[in-house]
Amino acid sequence: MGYDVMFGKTGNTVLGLGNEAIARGALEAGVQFAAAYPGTPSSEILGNLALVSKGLGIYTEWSTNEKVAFEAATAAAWSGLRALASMKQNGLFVVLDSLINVAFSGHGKGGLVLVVADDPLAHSSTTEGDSRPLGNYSDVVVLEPFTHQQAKDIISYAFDLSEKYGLVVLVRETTRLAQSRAPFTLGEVPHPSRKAVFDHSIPLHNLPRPHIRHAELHTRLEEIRKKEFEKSPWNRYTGPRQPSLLIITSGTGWKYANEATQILSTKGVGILALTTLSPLPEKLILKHLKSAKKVLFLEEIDPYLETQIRSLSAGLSKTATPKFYGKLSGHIPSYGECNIDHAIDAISRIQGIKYTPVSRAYAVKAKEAATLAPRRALTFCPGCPHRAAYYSILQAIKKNKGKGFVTGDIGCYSLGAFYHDIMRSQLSMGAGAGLASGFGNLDQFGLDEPVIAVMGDSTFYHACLPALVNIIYTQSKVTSIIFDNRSTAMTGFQPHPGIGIGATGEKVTTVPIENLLKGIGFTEISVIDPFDIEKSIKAVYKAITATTSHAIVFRRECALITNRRLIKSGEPAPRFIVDTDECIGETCKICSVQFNCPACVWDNETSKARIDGVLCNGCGVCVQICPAKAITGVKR
Amino acid sequence: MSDLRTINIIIAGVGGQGNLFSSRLIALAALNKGFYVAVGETYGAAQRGGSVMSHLRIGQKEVGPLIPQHSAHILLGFEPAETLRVGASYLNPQASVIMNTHPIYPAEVLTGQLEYPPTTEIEEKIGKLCSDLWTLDAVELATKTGSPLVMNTVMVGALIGSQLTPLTQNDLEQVISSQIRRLQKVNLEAFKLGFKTVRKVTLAFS
Repeated sequence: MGYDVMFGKTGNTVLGLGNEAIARGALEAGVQFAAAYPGTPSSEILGNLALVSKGLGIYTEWSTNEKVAFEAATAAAWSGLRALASMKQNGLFVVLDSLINVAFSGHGKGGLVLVVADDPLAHSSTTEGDSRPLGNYSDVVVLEPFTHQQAKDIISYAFDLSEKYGLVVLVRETTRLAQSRAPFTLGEVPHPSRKAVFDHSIPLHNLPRPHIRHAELHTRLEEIRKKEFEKSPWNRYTGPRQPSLLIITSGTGWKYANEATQILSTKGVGILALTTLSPLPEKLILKHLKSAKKVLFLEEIDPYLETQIRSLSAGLSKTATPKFYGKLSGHIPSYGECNIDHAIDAISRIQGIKYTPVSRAYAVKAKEAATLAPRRALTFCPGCPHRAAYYSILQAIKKNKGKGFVTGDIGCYSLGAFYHDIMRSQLSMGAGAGLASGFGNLDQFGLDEPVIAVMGDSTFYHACLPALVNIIYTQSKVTSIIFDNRSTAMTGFQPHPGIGIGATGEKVTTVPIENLLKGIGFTEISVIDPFDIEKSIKAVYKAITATTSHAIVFRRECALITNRRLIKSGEPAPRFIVDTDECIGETCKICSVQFNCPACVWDNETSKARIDGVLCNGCGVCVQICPAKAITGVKR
Repeated sequence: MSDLRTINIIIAGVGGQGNLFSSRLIALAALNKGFYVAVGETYGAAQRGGSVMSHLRIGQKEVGPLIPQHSAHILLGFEPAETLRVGASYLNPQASVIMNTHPIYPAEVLTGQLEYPPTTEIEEKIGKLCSDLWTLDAVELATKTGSPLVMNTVMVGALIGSQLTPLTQNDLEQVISSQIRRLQKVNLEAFKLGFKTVRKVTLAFS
């Protein structure tokens, strides 16, 4: 956690994450209300605000999903407060309907800022999504900082703009800003004392004629373009008046452009770093286009600037139109991350510079050497309850003569895609249950395999509920399994409605999963400890062979949380050993290969199983699944 | 090679080895000394046994979080196979490598589905890709101080002991003392042990 950043004194230079800079920026902007749903690479924004919120009288919440977070923040803005919602790019996809409506309707006197962290290369995502064109499409203002200092400072500016023009401001960042550390200097944190007042003077709807609101919105965007962005100090140009190559960039591209031109010692390059991305400062851009013969775009994910600016250039005469390079011309890959290597490659190709950091022979030798390193596949942690749950589902399907398949969802349990390939789908949040609802109604067309929808606890509240209602309503035949590990583990153990803890660690009302299932109309609900393998297999088998829809809640705390607690209390974790006389050996391998726990080591020398005492988290499942009863607990 | 005034350090390892924490310690020491620092982290599955790599850049100028390929000055390897994997993309004939020789086997090796090459073979390959290679069993050294978990701090000590960075023993000891509460003594000891081990080798060669 960024204690230095959040509690640091004015004037201190600290080393922090981009997300910490944004959280601090929100404090300095006088934010009073912040809501978010966790998602890498965005989670540290609300996590850090929650850290200081009690002391500063700020309200923070982990909402059930991003749409709710945005709507809750809108209510606070409508009541006159400065409100912020933060999320990853997928969150913006969920928010879009509300966002477009709020863009039309306005949101009252308070500032409303939406921070979206995009994840190029999908380091921790299922897709690459670019929030800039979506912000542009939604008619909201889009800003993107290119340094950590800017990431902090831009939040105050975003709130000022939002309040002055009555527009939603979307601040976009990407993984390499959000999750990288760099120094920045702290500013003053005010003590905001605005009172929330329901504003009866303006309604938050677009009735009776939404298109009139649309027209007004465009007028305000035009105003902001002319009055603010054409001469904004947030946009920066460095380089000669007539550059040999003009690089137009936003976000992380600015640093890559600078460094690449230095490395290549190429002279006369101009760099136009844009921060105000929607609406774009058209006059400023046109002025620079006229001064250049060649233009390269360095930007993350979509060719947003490239397409916008290329269409803008349609108004230029043929002789004044520069040659464009970027994702559309193939000089930068149209997918993945914009990085320093792509920048070097593109500039050297355009400028005709030869760049070889190492000899060809060396590069070949290095590539060959790397093949010696064995691959390191992702697996569930030792003692992870999800592994045990999936193991039981596999056994139940086996018992059902191999009939049955699993639709999955987003979370740690997504690793089920690599666990004997058991998880067959992973789309958006809640989509596993939605797909299952469809599959469960295909029996009349001949589909003769049972469908099992697995979903995490946090995901259950986020987007699974409508699909589960659909399953009951349409009498779809589905086995719904909730992997309840008592946390939003994948994104850093944030709390959710099922565990009775709020964003700042306070005790709150619990919304139990099984109560919701019951309310929806599930009549067969069982809550099982996934470490009880026999009971788990039985329950899954019964569910997939039944004629009605069953729901199973596999409830067991995340092994990492259990482990942390044990370390803190000094209490030893249970330990296990293999009796090598009893171990069947090569023909079995149930513990190591089938159950596939990294702590169930296969000893090649003895051809027997062994428990690695350092890796083992003491779940004891291997004791239950060993057919020879060769694994036993060790007394301390 | 990138801007000569910027030192490019990569820490390569596996989730759970304290890679990110170590890069933050070194970065803080550099920041306290008035340098510009940038730390980029590639993780994705830090706590799930996956590969983790930190890019750490220390210099005068504001630079990006990523080191260009084949432009690392120092590769601090927490795990042999990961050092080789990362080294193949970022090393160059002028680079130095400091490597912990204690392997962490991937799950598929533990369960007997893949083979892990002999560490000596990995060392040989890496040796051919760089100018200097220091090796030490940092886990064994860490265990001497009382906990195998402080392997990362032994490695930080080794880095400073190599005198490849502008940072001193005192710079790091100050940061360790201010940043680590629990196990502070053990970490300081681990740091000293790593420092001394590599320092001895450095002196013998100079």
